[in-house]
Amino acid sequence: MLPVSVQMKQSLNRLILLALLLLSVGIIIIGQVNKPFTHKCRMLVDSSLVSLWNITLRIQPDINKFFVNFQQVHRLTDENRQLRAENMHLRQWYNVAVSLAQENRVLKTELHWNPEPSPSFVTSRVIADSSDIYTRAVLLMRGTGNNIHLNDLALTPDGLVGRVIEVGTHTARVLLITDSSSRIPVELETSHAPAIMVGNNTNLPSLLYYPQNVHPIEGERVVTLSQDNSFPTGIPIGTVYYQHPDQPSIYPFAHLEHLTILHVFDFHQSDLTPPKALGQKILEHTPFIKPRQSLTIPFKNFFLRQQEG
Amino acid sequence: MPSPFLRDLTSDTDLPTTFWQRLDKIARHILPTLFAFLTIIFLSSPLPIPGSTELLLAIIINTVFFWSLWRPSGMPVVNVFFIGLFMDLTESAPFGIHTFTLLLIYGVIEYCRFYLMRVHFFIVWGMLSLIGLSTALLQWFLTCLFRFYFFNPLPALFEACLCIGIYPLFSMVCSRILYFLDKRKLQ
Repeated sequence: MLPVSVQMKQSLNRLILLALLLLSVGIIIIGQVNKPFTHKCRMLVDSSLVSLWNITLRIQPDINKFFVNFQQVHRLTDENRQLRAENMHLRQWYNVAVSLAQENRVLKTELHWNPEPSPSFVTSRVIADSSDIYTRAVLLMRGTGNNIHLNDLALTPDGLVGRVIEVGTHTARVLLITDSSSRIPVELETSHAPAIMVGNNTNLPSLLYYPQNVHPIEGERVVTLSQDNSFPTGIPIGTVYYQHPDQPSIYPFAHLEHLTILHVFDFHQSDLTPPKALGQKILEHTPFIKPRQSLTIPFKNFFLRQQEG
Repeated sequence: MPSPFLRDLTSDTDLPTTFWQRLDKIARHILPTLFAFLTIIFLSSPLPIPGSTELLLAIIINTVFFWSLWRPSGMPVVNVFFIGLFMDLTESAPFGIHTFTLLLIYGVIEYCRFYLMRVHFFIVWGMLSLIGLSTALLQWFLTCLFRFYFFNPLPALFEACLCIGIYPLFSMVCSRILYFLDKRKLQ
């Protein structure tokens, strides 16, 4: 090692600090300009960390048990009574559901109903909570190798959780419905009014853009609404909840704070082509727009919706 | 708060004689960085710890602050860079923000280290409070800027409070570790 004076060492250290600061600014710029590259880097690191996160997952049940015991030991009796009452209520609803399913089956047979193909899904464990204080996302232990695609929907048995935004070979990142960049078209189940669910980084996403003559009722169920064939209608999301007057939000069915296992559904909605409208002519000899070629302009769906309206 | 008499600034220039001493020195140098990396991995997993996201940032800020102040040989600038980069790669915040802010923290401590080593614990804590608050607000500002969205600044303030609040406990534990390491070295 070369003998260097303390002053020299300090100057060298400051020079390295300055160089690394400039490099970090460069990294920020690259991160903003070339987002696919950063996604690829993140997926690479996440894939290599899967084994380490698996170790933490092994101790997770013990930690869960500790916290659950700590929080709930003093209100076990109350909870037990409440659960018994809820169980009785649910048993009544179960009987109703069974009779309705039976009736539905009979009616479908009468109508010569062709059953829709059931969507394929992949079940995956949540290995990392990649949220920070401004983002809500989780990392799954399955990727393209396990038939997970971009924009697939992630669900729990309770309801919708989010959408796949990044896919690596062995990992996939799911943007939760509570993230501030999440916008999902929804339908209010009682009034059938369309609305948009907007994430706001809290546990209660906002309900916006519903028709002016519709007032969302507290406790009303909210389900997904298919507008651009990216996912089907009717997936349960949550119920309407008023934190403040005239500011409806959605209380999600899924427990988004603590996700352990998710089902990622591939609905193949984009493969469905709508039937041709009556009187529509295909311009086969137009030199610029070929038939069946999708338009590559932005806001394509917006224009399509306008045409429909 | 570790004693300034135990700061042992010249220790890095001593040439280790045996293999075990050399290994001991390497372990001593990578201990804080290893702790930071393991904390990032552990707190990134879905644990039912309330506020774990904010806690992660608070612990990393405290680690960089404490070690670059009291034992810069255990937290060189390159390690700070890699800790920030690792955080950027495992989280979904705008890329590069953690690297930039952690390097800024290191730069501030580098500038006033010799002053901070001689003053009372409460002044050091005050300095950490200032750095924690500035870092949280800077991260909030940069996130708003790069996402084109006005985020609620309250989580950033909560993160700053957590960062300030855990420092006495963190400092106590790390001082014990420093004391233990120095005692072993003197033996």
